[in-house]
Amino acid sequence: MNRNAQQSGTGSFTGQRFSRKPRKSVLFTDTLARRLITASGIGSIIAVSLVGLFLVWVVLPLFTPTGLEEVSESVQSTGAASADSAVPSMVHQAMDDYGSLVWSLHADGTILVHEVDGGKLLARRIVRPGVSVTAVKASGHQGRVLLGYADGTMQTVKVGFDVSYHNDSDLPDTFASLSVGERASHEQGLVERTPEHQLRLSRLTIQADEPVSLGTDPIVLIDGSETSGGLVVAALDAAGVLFDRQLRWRKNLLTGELRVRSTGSDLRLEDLRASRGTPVALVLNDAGDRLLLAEIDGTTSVLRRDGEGEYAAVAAVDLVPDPNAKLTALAFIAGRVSLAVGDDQGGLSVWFPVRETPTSQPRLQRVHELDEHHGVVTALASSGRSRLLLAGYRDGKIRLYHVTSHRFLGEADLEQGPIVAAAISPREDLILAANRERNALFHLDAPHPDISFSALLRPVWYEGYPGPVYAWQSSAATDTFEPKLSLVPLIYGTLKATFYSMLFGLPLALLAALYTSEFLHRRTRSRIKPVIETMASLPSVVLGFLAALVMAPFVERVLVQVLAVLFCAPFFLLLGAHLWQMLPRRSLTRLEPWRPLAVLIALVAGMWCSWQWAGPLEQIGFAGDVKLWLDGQIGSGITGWFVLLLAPAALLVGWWNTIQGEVLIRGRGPGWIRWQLGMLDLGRFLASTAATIVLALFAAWMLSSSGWDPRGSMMDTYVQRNALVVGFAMGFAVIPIIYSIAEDALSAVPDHLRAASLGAGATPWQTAFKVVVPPAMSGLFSAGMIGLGRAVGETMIVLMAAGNTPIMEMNIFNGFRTLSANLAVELPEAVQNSTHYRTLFLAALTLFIMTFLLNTIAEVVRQHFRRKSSQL
Amino acid sequence: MSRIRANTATALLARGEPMVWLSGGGLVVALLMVAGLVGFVFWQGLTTFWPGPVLQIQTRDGNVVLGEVTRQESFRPEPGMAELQEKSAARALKEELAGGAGRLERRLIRTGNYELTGEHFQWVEQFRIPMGGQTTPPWALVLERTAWGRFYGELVAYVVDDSILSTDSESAWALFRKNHDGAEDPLPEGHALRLRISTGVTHDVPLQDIVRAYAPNQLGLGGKIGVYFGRWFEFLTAEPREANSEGGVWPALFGTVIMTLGMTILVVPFGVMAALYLREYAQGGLMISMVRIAINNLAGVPSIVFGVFGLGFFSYIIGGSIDAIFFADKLPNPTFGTGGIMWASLTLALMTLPVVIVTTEEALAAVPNSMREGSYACGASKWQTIWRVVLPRSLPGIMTGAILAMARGAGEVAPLMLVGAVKLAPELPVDGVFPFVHPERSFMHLGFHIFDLGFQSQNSEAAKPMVFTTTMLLMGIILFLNGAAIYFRSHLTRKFTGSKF
Repeated sequence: MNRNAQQSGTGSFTGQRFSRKPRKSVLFTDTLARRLITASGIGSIIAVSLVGLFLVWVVLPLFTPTGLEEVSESVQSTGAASADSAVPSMVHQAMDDYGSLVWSLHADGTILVHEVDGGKLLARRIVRPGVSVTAVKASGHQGRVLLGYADGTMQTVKVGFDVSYHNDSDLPDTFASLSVGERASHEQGLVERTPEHQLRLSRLTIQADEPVSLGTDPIVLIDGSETSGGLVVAALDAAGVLFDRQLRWRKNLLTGELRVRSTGSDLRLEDLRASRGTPVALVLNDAGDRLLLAEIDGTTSVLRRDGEGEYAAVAAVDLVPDPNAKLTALAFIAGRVSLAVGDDQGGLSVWFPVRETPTSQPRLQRVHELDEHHGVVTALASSGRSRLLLAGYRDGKIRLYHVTSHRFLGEADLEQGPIVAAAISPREDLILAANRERNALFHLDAPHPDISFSALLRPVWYEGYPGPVYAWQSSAATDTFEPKLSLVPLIYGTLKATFYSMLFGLPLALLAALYTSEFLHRRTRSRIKPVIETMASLPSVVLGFLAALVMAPFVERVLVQVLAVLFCAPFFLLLGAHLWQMLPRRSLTRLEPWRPLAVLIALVAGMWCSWQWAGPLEQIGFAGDVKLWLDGQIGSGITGWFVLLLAPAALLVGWWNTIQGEVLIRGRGPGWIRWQLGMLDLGRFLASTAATIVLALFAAWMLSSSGWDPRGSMMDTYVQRNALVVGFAMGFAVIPIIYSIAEDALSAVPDHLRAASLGAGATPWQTAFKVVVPPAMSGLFSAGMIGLGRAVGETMIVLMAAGNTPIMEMNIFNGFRTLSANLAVELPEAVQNSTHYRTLFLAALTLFIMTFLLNTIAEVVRQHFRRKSSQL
Repeated sequence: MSRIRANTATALLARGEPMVWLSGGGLVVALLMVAGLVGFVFWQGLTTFWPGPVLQIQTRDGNVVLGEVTRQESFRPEPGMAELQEKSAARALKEELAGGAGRLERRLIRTGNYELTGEHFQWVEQFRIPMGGQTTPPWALVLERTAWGRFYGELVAYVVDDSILSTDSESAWALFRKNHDGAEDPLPEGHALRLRISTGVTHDVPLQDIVRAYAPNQLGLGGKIGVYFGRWFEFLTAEPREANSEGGVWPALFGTVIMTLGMTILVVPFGVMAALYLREYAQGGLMISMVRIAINNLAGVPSIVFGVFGLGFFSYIIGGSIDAIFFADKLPNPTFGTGGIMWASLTLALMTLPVVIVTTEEALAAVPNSMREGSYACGASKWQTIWRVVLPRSLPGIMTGAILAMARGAGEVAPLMLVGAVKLAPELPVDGVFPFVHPERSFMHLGFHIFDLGFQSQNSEAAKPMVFTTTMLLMGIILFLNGAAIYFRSHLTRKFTGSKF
């Protein structure tokens, strides 16, 4: 090789010497170009594939397991066994917003304030020294403490955190050296350096009201609930008297002092309930209108309290159905509607009132069964903002659950002794669990406890619902609202939109493609095709806008006409065809190019007739008002069945015609001339139409008289923005795509097949249907798939024309919300990395996967088709 | 299977005329849909700025309505409507009901004067109008104002600081022409037109509030054409007013163009290079054909998914990092960490990348290998072959891809809702303020403008003309781009294939 080059170099024919080596600059540019193109080419491809990976990356944390790890140095003495022996057992504890301070309430009414990290005691307060405390309750997450005393009095205490921000100069110099995030104690409070370089001073404020005298016997059980009318308190004393009090605070204008006023009545417990057992727990719900008195075996009386403080027993339930089990823990979770119940067999369940029908009285029901047999439940704690529930057990274990999703999130072990009190910090990043020895701090990493595959895809029983539902409702005004993030209604909406748009678009596009490729002149075809393809480029926002603001109001006004057109147009087309074929053969050949015009005339005639007939049709079929009829107020379901069954009946009659009816005509072959046969065929067609109508009517009458009404499922109350309008508007989006690919597939069938078929005497229709379509079938299939992909992902049309309510109804006259429209509506408002945000990304990923799969199937089939058609 | 003898009957059935007609019906419906939609939008868009007459209608119960007819429709009256009317109206109603198959005609009149009446529009049923109740007062004026929407009234006088300069309509109009249309900015203060509104009360409208005034009942064809094009000019060049329902769409038009240009500048080089890599450099094999299928598929991934990616990746992650490093002092207010025109362009570039790659690859594949071989035989290097032979031949195909990408990008709204298109952005992304280009700014977009006008507008009836003109503008741009793509595809390809050897 090398030698050859040298030889040819020296022995040049012209004598001129050319350099055989390329110039350095050429080599350099070539290398540069190769590297640049390779790099950016691969880069672009990676960038595009990044889309899918990024979605997965955002979604994955939804499904990562929860972290629950103990922070070892955060041990604080808690109870009787410690050196601080004067403090009896802890009954409740709670942390501040920053996870820096914790206050604990003890059985004797002492309130202690500790630093969370390290457990240093910062303050200690005994609210009413000298009187022994006989009932203690910390109610809800607002820091309300209720104390009942041996002398028959009660007292309310408000515990709160007082947070103030200071500059370095305001506080002693010792804090100047604090770095960001560092803490130091100051005057029974805690100072922390914020990221904004301020000093934040958090202190506990304990505000005790003066005692309220109730009776003379010691108070044994007490609970209270903040309502709009003040604090409702229910207390039970040892003698079995139930005290109902409504407390209101008045500010003294002169002294600025808050004074409490109480009103209410005293009731005998045995007058109120049937059961004679001793209550061990007393709880009041959020509205203060239900009082629950539970006994040790779980028997619970539910008392209704009206606005005047009158009580009446409404029901008795057994919170612990297991006869061997004893009730050991009872607490409300956030919102004071759902009640968590633990027993000594390890049963842990959540109950809330359920209305079986919208008008019936709510009844307490066991809704969530969280756990079985993990020991005796001794303490329950819930988060103030979500449905996290922490259960502490006698063997020192704690287990964390998410109530609604039934998800077990993790467990930890304190090893010694029963858990007496636990707390979840307001930000849900810390957990404190105390036994008699120590108070242990855990880091909690559960960013998305409410998400699991079953919560996303299975029905979930939310608080206040009569049963498990599929629901999507991501936000609401109240604090205790629980987001409902089921993807099912959205997927349902997507499929509904796809179904109705394909029902309309797919046959139309395939028929149009067939006519274009097989029956149009080549020149006309090259003009028609770009026109329809132009439709693909129409911005979907334009389609959506027209669908919602022009088509939807229009269709609402002319609904009967629209329904009539669906049947009149095909009828007039077929009628036109039968008349057309009666023309003499010679004029038929001459008129062939004008057939589309004749088709147009037939369509217009169909529309005109349905407009003319709409009034009478509405009178006969829909009792004069189609919307009231759809609402189910008037008329019978027979018309509905008739409309639904007309198409199947037509198919049935048509099928019978092809196998039996044609024989009738063929038999008349010899001796009949063309127009006579045409008349016969026309007669057959009209008879078939009549048969179709009779068949559909008969079937409709049968179904209707056996008590089935299509209203309520397939058709129901009319909503202006509905699936019918969306289906039509989406047709504009899917028809050109399906049409274009299908037409390409049909045109790709080689012409020699057509020539051979026509030459063998087949008519153009026989050629088209029996010769051209079969090899193009896979191409037509992939056209349908790609159209499906487009329909699944379409956003603007459904966003604007589908009404966007995430309901699951088959009703064609109702709206829906699709995955894509939901993204457009909600993602701009979703907080980054929140559960909502990640769930929306999951919806995007679902869309991505759905379309990717559809397109891949289409692509594989199309390549198979290409290979096959190249062999033809 | 029995043999079927060919005869007239079998010939008739074999034609399958009904089926042919059904498929022809499919085609005709599809064509009607295209024609109907485009025709409807263009008809509405083109006629909406045409000044119609101002009618003064005195109804049977003595109410006077002054305004322009917006549309007309027939409706089904509530039962018992006739009982509520006074005698003559009830008779007219019954006559009309009998004649019109249970339906009544009514017209929606744009009455304007929102600050006085609290409404922009009023329905007037036909039966309420007595014979001769409808007049066209010659000096009825239409005022388009900077605030409160339109004003309708009869010109009474020209007022300067409470003193009346002219009391007859004609000279008042002449004064107005002189001081408003002929005057330099700013318009004279204290000058006002005194108009008598439909209730008979007079009302002064300051000259400074008036954008345009005309007396439609006196306008000749030339005058109407003047108003018509004046409105178009304002529509294309002015800022929007009145919650976008009046004024122009200049910021949206500008935003659309800049965003699309940015997208094209980003997508074309990378798309072409990716295609060059796939077609000219990469070694064929399973890997490459899988990449090809994947890219083909990505072209079918819904645009909203790209929008989600753009928001999560570009705005929040990349933009958030930029903010943390360079704009930390402005935090927590995001600079780049939210939607902006740069992120929108990038997102749409990513979305259209597969389209460009696929079309460019097709164009490259269409260049016959003999040309490459010829080039190599002449001693050209690979890059020289690509640059001098392959790329020029495939240029029409590449242009087609780029234009198709532009058309898709310009018409896409769903991803933009997530990455930076907003309802109102008075600051343009490119302006005279240093550093002139502001890639972090959010922007207005014609498509989003349509969505916003159609759905978020409180006064959707008044916004309708604007929606239709905006729709027409957007469709015009996109149809133009598509037409250009079709032209390139057919004409330039023919030119080049002519020189094939």
